[in-house]
Amino acid sequence: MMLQIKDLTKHYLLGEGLSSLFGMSEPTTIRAVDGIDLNLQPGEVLGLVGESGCGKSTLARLLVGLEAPSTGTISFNGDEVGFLKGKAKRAFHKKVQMVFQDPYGSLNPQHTIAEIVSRPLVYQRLGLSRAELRQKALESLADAELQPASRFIDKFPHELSGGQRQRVCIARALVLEPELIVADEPISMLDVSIKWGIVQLLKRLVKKRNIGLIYITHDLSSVPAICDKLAIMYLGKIIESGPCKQVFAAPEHPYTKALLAATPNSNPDVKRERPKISGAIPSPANVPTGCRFHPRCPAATDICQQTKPKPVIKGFHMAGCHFAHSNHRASEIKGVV
Amino acid sequence: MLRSLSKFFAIIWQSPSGRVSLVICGICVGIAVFGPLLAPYGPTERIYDDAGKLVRLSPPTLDHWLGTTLLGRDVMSQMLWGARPALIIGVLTALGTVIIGVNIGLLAGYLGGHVDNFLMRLTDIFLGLPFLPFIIVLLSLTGQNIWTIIFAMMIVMWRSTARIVRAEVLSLRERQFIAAAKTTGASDFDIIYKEIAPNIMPFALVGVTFALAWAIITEASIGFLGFGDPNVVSWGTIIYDAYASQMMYRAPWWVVPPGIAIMILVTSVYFIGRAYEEVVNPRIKQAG
Repeated sequence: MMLQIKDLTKHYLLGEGLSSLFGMSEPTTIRAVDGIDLNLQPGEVLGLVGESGCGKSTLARLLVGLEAPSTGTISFNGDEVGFLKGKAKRAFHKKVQMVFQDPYGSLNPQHTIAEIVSRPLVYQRLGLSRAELRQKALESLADAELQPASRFIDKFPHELSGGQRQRVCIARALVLEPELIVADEPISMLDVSIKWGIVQLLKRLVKKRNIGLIYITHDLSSVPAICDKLAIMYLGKIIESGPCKQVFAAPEHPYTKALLAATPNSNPDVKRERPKISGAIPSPANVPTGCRFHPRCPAATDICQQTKPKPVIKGFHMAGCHFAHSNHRASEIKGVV
Repeated sequence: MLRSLSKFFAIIWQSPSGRVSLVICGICVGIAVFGPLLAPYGPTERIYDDAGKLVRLSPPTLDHWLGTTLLGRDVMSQMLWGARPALIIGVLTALGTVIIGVNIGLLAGYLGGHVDNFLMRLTDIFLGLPFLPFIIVLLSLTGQNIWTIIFAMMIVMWRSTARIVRAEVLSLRERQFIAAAKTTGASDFDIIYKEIAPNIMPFALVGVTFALAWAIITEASIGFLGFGDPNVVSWGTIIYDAYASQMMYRAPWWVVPPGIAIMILVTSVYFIGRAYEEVVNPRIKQAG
């Protein structure tokens, strides 16, 4: 197993100021990531889906080592990587790269494309000459299918379009030849016409180089095109996961069903049922009791309010719902959503 | 670095005032470099006429284009000699000021926490120093030579650059390209000097020009107040000599040229800074 995450949490403490020192107020805990288990093999694409504020970006930052976990473990090729320092951390960064959401903010405006793409090699202290750096940058840009690479290499980021910039970001992630790429909403800020090209590019790179990809998005419609596995995240926890096709064909969790129902379809004649969930995701500072989805769940019962659901696993398909995989209530839930 | 500099000159050249200022500064630099070669007399050389009489307070003539001083020295030659110390002091002080200020601002802004706290309290202490009195006291304690003048001015001038740079770094360090550099294994040093510093260069260059203008004025003021290096003739000390000999009204040719030269040089340096700042920070233009 290349990547193995066990019971990972990231809690932030808020309000540890003077008032809490004098016992005037309790510091609040923000449970951004609240107990996550994930596995990934080389050559696999895991789609991580959830609404804004569900903790998927925090999870991405934990995975690439921008933040240290509160508890739990992240092991990469069998080594624990959550709390690395110094050289070991640098070596870890060589293997795990990230593609950011914002192709405008994630490129240094004062650097040329050549510098942006070759800087990771400099930071890794690989001791390459100028000519070698430039050559690597050219190769990497060609791999990211920004062609002809030699025409872009001496430009500045502001001279490029959004899609071209995102390809530069991908080239920068590729230049270290990583084993895992974490892509945090890589297409959400791009034009519709460009999105497809970037998704296809990522898919080809995964197959060609046999790397792992964690594809984070809030938009389910791009998922089937690229992902092998799917994990649905809600309020810091994964509430349903499994092979992509299986989850799409037979979702078990009411939240997944609602998400799937909310995905736009390009065919106007297809009648869609309106999702029956309303309201917004609760604050991670105040997680509901029992099942964390119960205040918004159309099929919630007393047990959902009181008891935390255990993951129900059938084959590779997991759902964190009291009624998952049970014929007993399944029809009822289907009818509601 | 080189790229920022060539961009700097290209931007200034675009505006008319910037172009004029650049030419004036170029001429001043030329005088500073070649002036002593062009000067017909030495800066402290006394001039006697054919009868062996000292040429005191001669108004401008063909022989002495800007007249002579009470001690029979050629004002024109003094002017040509005096550009060099003004510019050397100005440039060295400006560079030193900005190098100290930028580094302290970068470290405080990026590292934050205790480092930030310590460096900013240090800055506060230096902000409390009165500008001219501090320099004068330091000069009277350590002796009057141009190196002390440069050192003293650097000590009191870095503080505002440090503040401006720190504020800018605080916003830059939250940008996504910093996180991107971290995920590729960049150390703090890499991030500060390879990712953030290039974005600070425009502010540093504006800082250099304003510090340069300030340093030239201050050097002239120190000279005028009589605390300049007694062995060096600068534009400020020429005015001081005229003032000290109480000849300011009787010999305007002695006072006006250095005064105008200082004014023109400082104004053009300042305009260069302005022309650049307007492009780098477009809000200024809207407000003005």
